[in-house]
Amino acid sequence: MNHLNTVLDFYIGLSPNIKSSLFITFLLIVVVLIVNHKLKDHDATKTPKGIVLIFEILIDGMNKFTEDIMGKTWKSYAAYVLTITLFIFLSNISGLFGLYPPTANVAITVTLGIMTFAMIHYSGFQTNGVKNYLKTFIEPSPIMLPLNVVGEIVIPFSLGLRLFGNILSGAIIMALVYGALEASGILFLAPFVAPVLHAVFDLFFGLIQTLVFVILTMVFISSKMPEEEIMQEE
Amino acid sequence: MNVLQSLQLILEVAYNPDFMKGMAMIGAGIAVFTGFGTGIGQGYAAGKGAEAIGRQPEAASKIRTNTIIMAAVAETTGIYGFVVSLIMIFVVALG
Repeated sequence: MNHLNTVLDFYIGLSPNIKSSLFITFLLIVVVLIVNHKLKDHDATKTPKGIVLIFEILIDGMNKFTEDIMGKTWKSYAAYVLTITLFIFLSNISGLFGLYPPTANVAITVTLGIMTFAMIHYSGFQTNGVKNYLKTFIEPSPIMLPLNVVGEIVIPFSLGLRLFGNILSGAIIMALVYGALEASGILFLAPFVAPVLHAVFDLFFGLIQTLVFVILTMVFISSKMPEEEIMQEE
Repeated sequence: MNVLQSLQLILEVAYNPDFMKGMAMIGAGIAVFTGFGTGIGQGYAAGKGAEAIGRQPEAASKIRTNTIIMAAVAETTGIYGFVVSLIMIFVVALG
């Protein structure tokens, strides 16, 4: 009982963004488990229906999208890319459901950036070999080493802060407009203003920032690979 | 007023918390001037995108997607300025 209380206190103390990120993660886990369960009894010769169909379209589209950008090495990265796409997109549009967008918290976006950073260097070491990959840091000359290292360290912050700033700016502008409506006593206009604001700042910017994050992730990962790995087979 | 007195006045002003808050607010205003460069960059991306569609109307959908993404990448510097100004307002001035 005491442990439960500790856990509850810990949960209550979290910031609202982290709470909604927990909620979204939990939702995604449940949905993916349901899809997994349905896929096990699924007959491959029949046309898929319902949630299985949706996920089939998603995965198919993501495979094509990754292949367009990353060339022939797409296969091992499509799963990672689809995962972060789902999480970031759901987070960005979660303002529509009355949650605080988790991506308006710098801790979460920079965490996503650090995940991508780890992915970039893992795939760099894996595809080039340790020695060749370390050699790319002293090219074109050893004097460039500090610049190259700084250029690498900046990547997670640039990715994370871009997402954070965009989503936060949308949230702040909406809060300002609602505050102005309330202060001037015309709050009854809010139902007419809200759809436009949410369509622009939650859906449109959310989708675009998701795309930008994902595309930059893929571009950074494939930029660390040797040339012949990326080239498409004709 | 001699030099020493005026120096003392400057020091007093410099350590005044209200003055610091006001300067932080002005700094926040200056920081969002990064939007200047962002506007130029986004306008350039949009202009080139429109040009490309004019030259190759059959590739319009692909060019449109790319233009939007490039505009969002160009937006980054403006967002950095925005983050800095937010820090100025909510951490330095109001914190």
